[in-house]
Amino acid sequence: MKFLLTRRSLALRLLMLLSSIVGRCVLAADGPIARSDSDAKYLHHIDLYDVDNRKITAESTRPYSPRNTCGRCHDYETISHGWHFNAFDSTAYSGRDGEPWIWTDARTATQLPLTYRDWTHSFHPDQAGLSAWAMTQKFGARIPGGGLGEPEGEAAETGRWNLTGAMEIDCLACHAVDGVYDMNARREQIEKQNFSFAPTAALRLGQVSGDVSRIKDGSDPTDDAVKKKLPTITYDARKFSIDGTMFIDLVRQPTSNACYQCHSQRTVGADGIDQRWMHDEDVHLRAGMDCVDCHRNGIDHDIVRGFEGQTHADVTAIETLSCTGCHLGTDGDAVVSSLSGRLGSPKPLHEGLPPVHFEKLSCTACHSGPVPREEAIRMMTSLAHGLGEKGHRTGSELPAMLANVFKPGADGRVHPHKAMWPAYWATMQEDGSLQPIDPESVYQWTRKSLRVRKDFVEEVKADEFAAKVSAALAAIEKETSSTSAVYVSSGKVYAIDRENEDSLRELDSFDPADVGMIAWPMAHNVRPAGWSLGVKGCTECHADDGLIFASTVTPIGPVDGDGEKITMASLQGVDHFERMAWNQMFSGRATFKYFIGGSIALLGGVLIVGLGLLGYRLQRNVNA
Amino acid sequence: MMKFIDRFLTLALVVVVIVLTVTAMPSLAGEPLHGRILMAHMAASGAMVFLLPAYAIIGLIRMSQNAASSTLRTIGFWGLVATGLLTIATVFACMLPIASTDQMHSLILLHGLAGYATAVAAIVMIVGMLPKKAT
Repeated sequence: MKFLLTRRSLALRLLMLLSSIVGRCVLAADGPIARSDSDAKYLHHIDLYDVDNRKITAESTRPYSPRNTCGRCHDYETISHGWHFNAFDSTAYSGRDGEPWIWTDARTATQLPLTYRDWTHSFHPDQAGLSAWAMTQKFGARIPGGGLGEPEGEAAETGRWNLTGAMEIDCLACHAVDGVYDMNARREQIEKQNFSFAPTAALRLGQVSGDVSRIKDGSDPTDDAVKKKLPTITYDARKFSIDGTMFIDLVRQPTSNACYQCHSQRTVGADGIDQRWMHDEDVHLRAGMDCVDCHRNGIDHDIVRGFEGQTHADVTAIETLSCTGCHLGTDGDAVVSSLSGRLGSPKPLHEGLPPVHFEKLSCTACHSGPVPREEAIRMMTSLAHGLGEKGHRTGSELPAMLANVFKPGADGRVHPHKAMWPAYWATMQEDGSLQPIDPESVYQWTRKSLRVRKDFVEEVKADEFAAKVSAALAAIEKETSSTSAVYVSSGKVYAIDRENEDSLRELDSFDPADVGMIAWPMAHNVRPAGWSLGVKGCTECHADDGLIFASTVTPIGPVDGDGEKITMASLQGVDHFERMAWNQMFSGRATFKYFIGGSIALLGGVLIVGLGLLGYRLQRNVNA
Repeated sequence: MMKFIDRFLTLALVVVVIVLTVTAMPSLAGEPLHGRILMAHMAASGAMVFLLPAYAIIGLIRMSQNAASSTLRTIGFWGLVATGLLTIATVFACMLPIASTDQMHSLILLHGLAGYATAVAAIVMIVGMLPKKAT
């Protein structure tokens, strides 16, 4: 009997194992990742799931979770490694220099460039004592979530994460159709530190109440008193269908409008922010293209940044998604993926332009950025200036950012750059390097000494600058128990003058990486060919006033620099006398062409006469 | 006088060809000319544009007067004129807003080949001008 039971039990177990294997195979064949494999739009009438992975109904009070909702059919883990989601990941591949996160605080005249990426510029947030949570809170409105915004394990229980919740990748920030996703509603929730409610509020699925920013540090979210203060949502029942699903209107390829939420930029002229109707936009967009026509990605969301030499999971596939790749093709033109002319892009002939220019200049040097002027102009970007939020901007808001700055990029060629000079409070280390101080701490420590309500630049007059900054530095030294507090702005380093406590002294000999200009290449807007540099001829650049060399950029920050202009030629390391010599040569180039033409004519004439002479002599020899 | 002009032009032309050849050397390594080397190359080529036609005309006059000349020198002379013409013509084509980048690459390649051929022709001509050993 026992034997039979054992046999039966064994058979049962085998059956269970078999069914389990078959079940897994079926699941693997179907897979957790769903695809429509059609060019047609797939309508998403779907169930929403909350952060606790429970199906959302009209009575639910918890926010919807993109991870638990979208991740049911789409590979959230793979997506989470994408370029937009690893901005806060120090271990992610850094790629070419880009725009840093600029921690701006007008009250303390701070514009501190930060990045987790291993770029040639900016400070790592850890250097300034800024936690992942602080970075998420400060810049969360400009990142689509993921990365350090989604701490796991113990990290998720520390600091304020257990109150704010995680900031998951908000798929619909990019994939919702125009008019569905409210970026400002999202910003509002992030400012209130209601991180996990941001995706729900942005879709306007209901009314969010509660404000985590009003809850004290160290509060226990399981405490009943705290629970009452935590945000909740009242879902709009009209959003649900009869079957309990919800229609989410989304697109596979994000529209340019979605990109503009974080990637808009404005130029600032003498009269303030240049008006939009005066600008013609990027020539590609005017031609009917969308951002994602070039900046493509697969499910890994490893987006094509569009510059030559980008390290990418699929190098071949992105070869023709750069300026040269698309317009000129690549060397392996026998392969379809190397052919030029994608999307009907014209092949530029560059008639008469010596090819050495392509060794010295990037495409963008002549074709991109604001039309070059004698002096680099101020620019504003979504990431740095919160474009897209309702506000009353004048164009003079911090951070002070300038373009075009024509300097060599990592590939040695000249690229147009955006640039800025860091401004921050720091302590000087024994090795002479500067360690930035957490800007929030600076504000707390210097409130009484600076006495700035909103804007340091407007409220601190020139004649009280030294006294106030000196007092602020003294306050910082008191708090940090150091004697080496400094303030950095426009490339200058200020410290307390020990002989006169109300005065400042300027320190020198600092690492330019700590106090000097930081710059990153820019590629947009691309101007039409007729507006490119050099279209008027050689002397548009090869002249004493050629803007690519002679235009200037002046260090600018909350505090005026010494006003000393820096020429682009000096940034490019071009020898002044050599440039002057070239300019002299090019000034006579047009005339010289006539001499060359004459020379060719004379040499041709001599050859013809010589041939005639040869024929005559041969004839004479034959006759003799 | 003609002899003096001929010798002066020959010397000047040889110097210019040497400068042009030396400054063009980086191109053998596939490097495009730039910076001061390119400037020196262009300055020397400016001199070439004036010297070569003058030398060609003087040489033609000399030949038309049936002056005694070695075969090597004659070959060198006409080689210099022909390849020099090609060298100048290819760079002239590059200076006009006509050639595309691809065409310009071809012209520059041709310019380099013609330039090196000019150097060879100059050597042939110089060898032809050397006095023969007494037998």
